[in-house]
Amino acid sequence: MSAETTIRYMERSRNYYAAHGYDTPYEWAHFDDIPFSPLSKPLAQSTTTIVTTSMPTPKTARDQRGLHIGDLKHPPQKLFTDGLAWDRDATHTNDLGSYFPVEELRKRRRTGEIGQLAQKYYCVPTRYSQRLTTEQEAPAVVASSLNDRVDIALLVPL
Amino acid sequence: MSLVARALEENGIATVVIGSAKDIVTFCGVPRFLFTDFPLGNPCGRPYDQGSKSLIMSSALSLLETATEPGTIIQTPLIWDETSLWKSNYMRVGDDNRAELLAAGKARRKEQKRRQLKAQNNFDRTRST
Repeated sequence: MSAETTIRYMERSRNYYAAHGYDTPYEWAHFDDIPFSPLSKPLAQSTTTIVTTSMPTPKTARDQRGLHIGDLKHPPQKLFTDGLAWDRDATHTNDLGSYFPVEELRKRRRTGEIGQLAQKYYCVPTRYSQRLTTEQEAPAVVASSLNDRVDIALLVPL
Repeated sequence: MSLVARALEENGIATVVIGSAKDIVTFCGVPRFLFTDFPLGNPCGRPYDQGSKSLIMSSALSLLETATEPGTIIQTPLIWDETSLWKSNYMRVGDDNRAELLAAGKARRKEQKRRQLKAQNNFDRTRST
């Protein structure tokens, strides 16, 4: 593939899992309408949170994945990525900052570019079931974020 | 993850998805998407590389400030390497690895069945005591 060509992950994934013997292709979520909320206040006055697909422990990353709400004021030194689909041949996830940008946000908080960091951050598992995400995990993240007076959410799927 | 972005946005919280699976994110439809053409795994920058992390965060914050309509996408100028071999190798299926992939799939299904059976047995045992 050339440098300009972007990988078609849906097609690649369908072929890959078909080669594994799975005969029902995954149906990715699709919507015609897209919601939009303009930034309600300047960045320097906004409260920001992070939503990641990585998990807080090796076990939750591998096979017991579920929503985890963590303390962004005391952020994790490590998160876990074992059960996720990412390119293990090309890269690694040993550097937390390459997929969980809390240090980058802290720097910008110190310079005043952004306002507060939110109290909570969120580990949301990628799931086969979109229903679980839509009906349980997304509403829980929304409720907690509203309670935390979050203005901005950075979503960083691996 | 795109589903969570949509839910947050519907409730008045401005979001930006930062990532590399462009076709999946845009197929779902999210309010703002910052795309970097990196291998999956490092949406916020190359490991241990301050320059790319800083550029990605600056681009994400700029996108939040400047986007005026849903579905706004910006691509960073970052590239992973000159060869782009990783693009050909990721989830590759070819005649040379087809048998290996099928065997891996069979082993995985067998393990899933074993786990399901174990969970069922544990459940039954709990109910009978």
